[in-house]
Order: sequence, then C-alpha cells, then structure tokens
Amino acid sequence: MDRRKTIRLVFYAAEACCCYLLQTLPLLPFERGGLLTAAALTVGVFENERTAVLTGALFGALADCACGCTGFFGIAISAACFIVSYLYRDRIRTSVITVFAVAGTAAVIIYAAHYMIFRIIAGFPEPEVCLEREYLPLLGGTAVFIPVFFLLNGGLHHRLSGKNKGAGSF
Amino acid sequence: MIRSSAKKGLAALAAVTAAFVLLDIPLPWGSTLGNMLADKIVYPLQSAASGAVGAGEGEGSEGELSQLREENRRLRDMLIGYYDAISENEELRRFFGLKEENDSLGLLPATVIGRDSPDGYSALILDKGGSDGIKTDDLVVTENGLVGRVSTAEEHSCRVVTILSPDADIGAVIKRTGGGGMLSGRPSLAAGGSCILTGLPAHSGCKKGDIAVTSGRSGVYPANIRIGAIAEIAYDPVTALPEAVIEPFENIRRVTAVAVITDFSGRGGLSSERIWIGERR
Repeated sequence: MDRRKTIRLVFYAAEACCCYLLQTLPLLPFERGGLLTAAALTVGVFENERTAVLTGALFGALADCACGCTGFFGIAISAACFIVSYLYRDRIRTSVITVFAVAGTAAVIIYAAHYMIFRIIAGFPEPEVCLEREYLPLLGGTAVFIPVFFLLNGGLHHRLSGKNKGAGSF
Repeated sequence: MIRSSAKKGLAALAAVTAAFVLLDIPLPWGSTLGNMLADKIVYPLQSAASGAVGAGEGEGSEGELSQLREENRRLRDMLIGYYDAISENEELRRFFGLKEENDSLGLLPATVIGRDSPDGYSALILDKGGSDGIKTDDLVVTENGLVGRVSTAEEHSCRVVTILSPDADIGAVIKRTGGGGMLSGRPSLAAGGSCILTGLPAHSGCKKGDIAVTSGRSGVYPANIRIGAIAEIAYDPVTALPEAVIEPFENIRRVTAVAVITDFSGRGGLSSERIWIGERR
C-alpha cells in the first residue's frame, strides 16, 4: 500500500472518530447529525470498492455504537459504500450534485430500512412520531453534511491520490 | 463482467457482514462481542473526550528553567488530584440528601459519556460498569430524581434506559393515593421530556400535581425514589383506564452527572416488575 493511501486511510479513521464524538457527546448540538453516514458515503465516491467497504464498516460500527443497534449500520453503510463506489468508478460523473443525489438516496434507503426494522416490525410505540421527530431530522442532517464531507474527502483524495477517479473529476 | 476491484469489494462486503453477525452473537454471560469491544475501545475514548469537553481552562504557563518546569509539572499533578477529590466530594454531597432519606442505598457516582440512541434521550452511556459493582436493573438517579435503569453492564461502562424510553418499565406509585402502575416513555411525550404511568386502577383518584415515586414492591428496585409530578391525566383509548403523564423532576435530556443505586435493603424478588403488575404487552 502506498504512502498516500495510508495517509488517506488514517485520515478517514480520524474523521470517523471525530464524527462519532460530535454525534454522541452530551451537550454538543450534533445529536441528530447523521455525520457518520454522510462521511462514509462520500468516502465511497473517491475510493475503490474494497476500501469503500472497509471504511464504511468502520463508520457503520461507530454508528451502531451511537444508536445501540449492533450490526445494522455496519452492514448497511458498508453495502451502500460498495454500491456508491461501484457507480462512481466509471459510470457516474463526480460532482456535488450527483454525489448529493446518489448519497442522499443511499441515506434514505438506509434510514428507511432502519425505521422498518426497528420501529415498525419491532412494534415500537408511535412509529409515526418517531418518523417525524427522529428520522426526518436525521435525514436532514445527513443531507446537510453530504456536500461538506464531499468537499473535505474530495479535496483530500485530490491532494493525495495523484490521479482523477472515475469519469468526472473533483 | 464484474471488474476485479468489484469482486474484491464484494468479498470484503461478505467478510464485513460475517464479522458484524459474529459481533452480535450473545455470549454466555449476557453480553456480546461487539459490546465488549465497544467497552474496551470506543467508550474509553468517549469518556476522555467527554472529560475534555467539560474541562475548564488550560494549563498554566511553564517556567523558563528546567527545574521550574519540573516543579510546575509536579504541582500540576497534585492540583489535578486535588480537583478530582473536590469534584468527587461535590458529587457525593449532592447525593447525600438522597442518602439521608434512604440510608440503606448504596450510591455510586457516574458521568454520562454518551447518548446511545438516535433520539438522543432514550438511552445513556455511563463511565462506570461491572467492575465498579454495577449490575443490570440498577436504578440511575440524580439529586432531583429518577433518570432510568441499567439495561446492560459491561466491565467499564453501562447502558442506561431512561424513563423517556418505551423500554423503561419501572414500577411506580402515586404517593398520595397509593395507586400503582408501570412507568415508561412514549415518543410523543419524550420530546417534551415527559413520560407516562400506565396501568393505574380505574378509580385511582390521582390528580395533577401528585408526586410519583418508585414502588419497590417487587424488590427489583428500591422504593420511594422520586420520579416526577403528574402534569396531566389521560385515558387509554382502548381500555379507558386512566394514565398519568409525568413530568420528571430531572431534565433527562441535559443530565450529565448521575448516581447508580448499586444496593439497597430489601433487594431481591421477582425478576421483572411486569410479573408483579401483570403482563401488558
């Protein structure tokens, strides 16, 4: 593994830790942020499939720790990162708009699946209230941070990869 | 034709999926491998960061000579220990009133290092665990009142289900009338910081302003721990039985320092408060 990729991976790990702490520490305003999901999906845009899956697993594992549901986000975010990476290798042009659309769609699917499994199927009381007060703010937060992490991770990849990924360029 | 990089990605995805399934397998002592790893790796980091967020001013300046620097370092270490002792004394003093009311209570101060739910108020992570004497179903309180109960206890951390969560299930009584029920949360009330007492008798006679406390009848939880006051009386749409909306005395969404009741006189009894009050789900 070359040095540039190692630096990127270390940066992604640090980014995951920071997002997790921002989301979970008491009295910080990011409780509903969806930071981990947004960051993971934008990493998938710039890395190959295997790296995207493994990075998604790290972000997903921390999202599981934040939500108290071991395994769901780990698997879901890894799978979403794989699909995003596969699409962006040479099928979709990389731009803020396409990333927002694709990553946003992936986030909607992930949260919808979480809602179905842990609220509807599990028989959680007042699921419609949960949808309005938990999931919509979470989705909104993710949507807000997708462009932010796209710029951050894209800038890092552009600096450290020495090549342009996919049909488009950052 | 699938690219080789995609094949590698699929293989990695299969490995990741298998790993997460393994992490979720329950272990003989009631925990999971994932929880143990989180206890060993994630929560210490969270605890350190929580301390840094709550920390005050930075350290003082260093002297110019190496001897002065060394002395400064030594005095700084002593000061850190001194502030730790003051902080611990303050925490214990805050809970002393609770201890005076219930002198059989064993109290262990703990700090909230994270929130363990998407809504941010249904579950908390504390920086104390089984190695400190915490067990499942220990009540978590502040000097103002009940916060929740321990749902899982790892070695160095524990997860607390708050009274705003639908999974709380703590037996409670209205102090004035003696009418008992089951305390839990509902999403529609939790955002406003309230919970609900269900299963009250048909002619409970309770009214707005009545105080709710833990019942302690099953022996799982201690009795007479303050919970909150009735804000409103509602009626179950199916059974027409009264339900009391409780406004807790403690602000669950903002709590950062708590105490865990690790022991009390009369502990022991039925394994679930629901067995005493009757199955409701």
